[in-house]
Amino acid sequence: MGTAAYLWSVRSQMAQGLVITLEATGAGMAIALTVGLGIAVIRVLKLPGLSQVARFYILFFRNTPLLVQLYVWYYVLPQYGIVLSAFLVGVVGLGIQFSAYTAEVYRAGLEQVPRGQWEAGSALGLRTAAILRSIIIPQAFRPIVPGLGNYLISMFKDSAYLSVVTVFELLGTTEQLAASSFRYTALFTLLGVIYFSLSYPASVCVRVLERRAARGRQNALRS
Amino acid sequence: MLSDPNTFTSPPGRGAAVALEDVHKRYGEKVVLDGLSLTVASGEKVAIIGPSGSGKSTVLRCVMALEEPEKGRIHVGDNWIGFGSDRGDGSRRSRNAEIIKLRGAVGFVFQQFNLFPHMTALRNVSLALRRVRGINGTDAAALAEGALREVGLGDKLAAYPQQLSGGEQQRVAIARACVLQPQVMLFDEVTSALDPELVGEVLGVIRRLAEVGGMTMVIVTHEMEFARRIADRVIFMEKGSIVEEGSPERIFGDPIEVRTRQFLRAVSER
Amino acid sequence: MRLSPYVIHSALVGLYYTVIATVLSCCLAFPIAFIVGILRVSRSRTVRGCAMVYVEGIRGASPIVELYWAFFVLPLIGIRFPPLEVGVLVLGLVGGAYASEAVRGALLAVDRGQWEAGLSLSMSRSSTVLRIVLPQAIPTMLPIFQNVAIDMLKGTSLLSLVTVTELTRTANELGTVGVMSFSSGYGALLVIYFLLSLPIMAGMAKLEKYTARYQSKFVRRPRS
Repeated sequence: MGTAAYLWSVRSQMAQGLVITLEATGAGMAIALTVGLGIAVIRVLKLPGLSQVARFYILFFRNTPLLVQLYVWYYVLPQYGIVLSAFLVGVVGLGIQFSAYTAEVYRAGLEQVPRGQWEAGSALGLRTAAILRSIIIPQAFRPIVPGLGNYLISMFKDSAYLSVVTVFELLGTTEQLAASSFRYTALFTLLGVIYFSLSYPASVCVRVLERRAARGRQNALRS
Repeated sequence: MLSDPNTFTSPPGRGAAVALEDVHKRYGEKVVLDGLSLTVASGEKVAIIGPSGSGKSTVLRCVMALEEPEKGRIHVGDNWIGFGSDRGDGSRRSRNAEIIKLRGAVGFVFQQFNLFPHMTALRNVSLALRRVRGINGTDAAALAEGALREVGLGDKLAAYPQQLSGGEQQRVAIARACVLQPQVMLFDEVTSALDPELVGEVLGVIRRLAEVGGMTMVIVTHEMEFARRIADRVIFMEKGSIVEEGSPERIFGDPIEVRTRQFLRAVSER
Repeated sequence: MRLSPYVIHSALVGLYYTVIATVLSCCLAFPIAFIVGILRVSRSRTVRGCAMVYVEGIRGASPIVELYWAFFVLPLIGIRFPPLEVGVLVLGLVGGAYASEAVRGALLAVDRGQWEAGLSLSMSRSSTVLRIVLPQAIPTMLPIFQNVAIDMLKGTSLLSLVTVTELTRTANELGTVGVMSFSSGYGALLVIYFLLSLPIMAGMAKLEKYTARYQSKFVRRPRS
């Protein structure tokens, strides 16, 4: 069978792998966005004790390999009675790893809101939570979107790590197909093409967003 | 070095020292230079005055090819570069070489000084001697030291730009440009970024340069008194064209054009 | 887990390969970063384009995919390297691509006046970049370089998947053999990687302090 014909014949498996990849990315991002926000808020509010823990959390997960983190989740969780599917373990691993990155994006976004906004909120008698919710977070929103977008794309690419904990996303599917058909070159090249054709346009979009956010900031300062 | 009257005369076979020929420059929609032509004779001191946005700085920057006009020609001595439809044939590389050669004959002093912060004053001045002219380290240092003494900074050779005042930095910048012995010196509002009490020391250096004789200078400035005193010719620009030009006595004393009068009146009312 | 000579020996071998792979990858990545970063601000659109293709191509997929590709496909097209070399090559190319973005960004962030001053002295563009703009860009690049160096360290764990006996693979093997329980073993491994990252951060901090004098921020407000 010719290369093209072969690749066409495995399209449904690859498509399935892609679906798993996208689901993992989505679920992982959901975790990263929520956990990261919590960590960021802790750091911004400078809560005693918790703040240091948060700093260490971010440093620890940024400086250690995702691969090993996934192994740890895979073996440690069952020990505490948490039995999850491989997919969910992978999603937790991805989400926690990226929460360290999203926390920093949130923090940068929150910190670039001028101090005066906090003061105005307190002067109006609002409590911290309300100030955050109604005043600070809405203003922090625009500049963080490109940053978070970049990490979404990274997570999409890093979902490939899940193949190591027996999840059959794109890379896992490709390995399996290659092992039985020996068509390594065709399959892995196709794999690269799929990742590239999804991640590159997305990163171009994010760059456009970045430029717009930068311009928006300049305009705000000018007026 | 600076005080040697023979150092800055232009080569024999001169035409003009600097000329712009029908130069057009746009930034997007905005027309900055509108078919501007200007000739500066060898040894002449020309002052260009005018409101902001009139294109005065752009004129200087085009001579240096720091801006590329859409159309027109820039002459420096016997060399010229064409842009747009006046662009000659010739490879990219030969054109780059032409531009570098053109720049080698012109000295430029910036409004923002643009000294190199990671080098001492001495190295700032000697850098081009070493890298462009290929002069060896010791000779280059000696020449640089001489130039810095001429501008009154002989005791600041080892200072970094951030340790110098604005006036001192600008004087280093002038030394840096002069030490290459250009045929033409261009000054782009060189005192506009200085605190008022530092302006005098810089103007003093420029005046001495002018008095030494022979050097062609084009000075874009807001310092009207200074322009009146050292310029052979004053040019008033507005909106990308030359409105009026003539001797300082005439332009400052009795300008013909209404717009010139208006500008001078607005400036003197500061 | 008993620290038998076997365990200690395996751990040391693993550590050796981890460190060597990290160092070699960095040695490849940073020179590539400078070269590619400078090429990306070239006047020639062709040069810029080629450099961009390299960077965007590498960034298109994650290193684990690229490592597998290199490991499986390169031998089939005739390029046979031992696993460590393949791994270092891939990591170095990946690190070089990401670090080149830092170089490019830092070069573009240097005040335009510095470029113009260099050009006004009739220095060539390359001379201006190397002697004037690049030294001033270095402090801006360093934080990202730190991240890339740590990414190289993290990347070496991927080499365990292509039969290199660095730390992660050592942990795999010790666990499989039964000498070590997986959960505590991998947990310890995580801590080891964290500890290994600390000297990198310390080294970079030192470098940042040393190059701080190249910052051009001072020129803004001259003292009078």
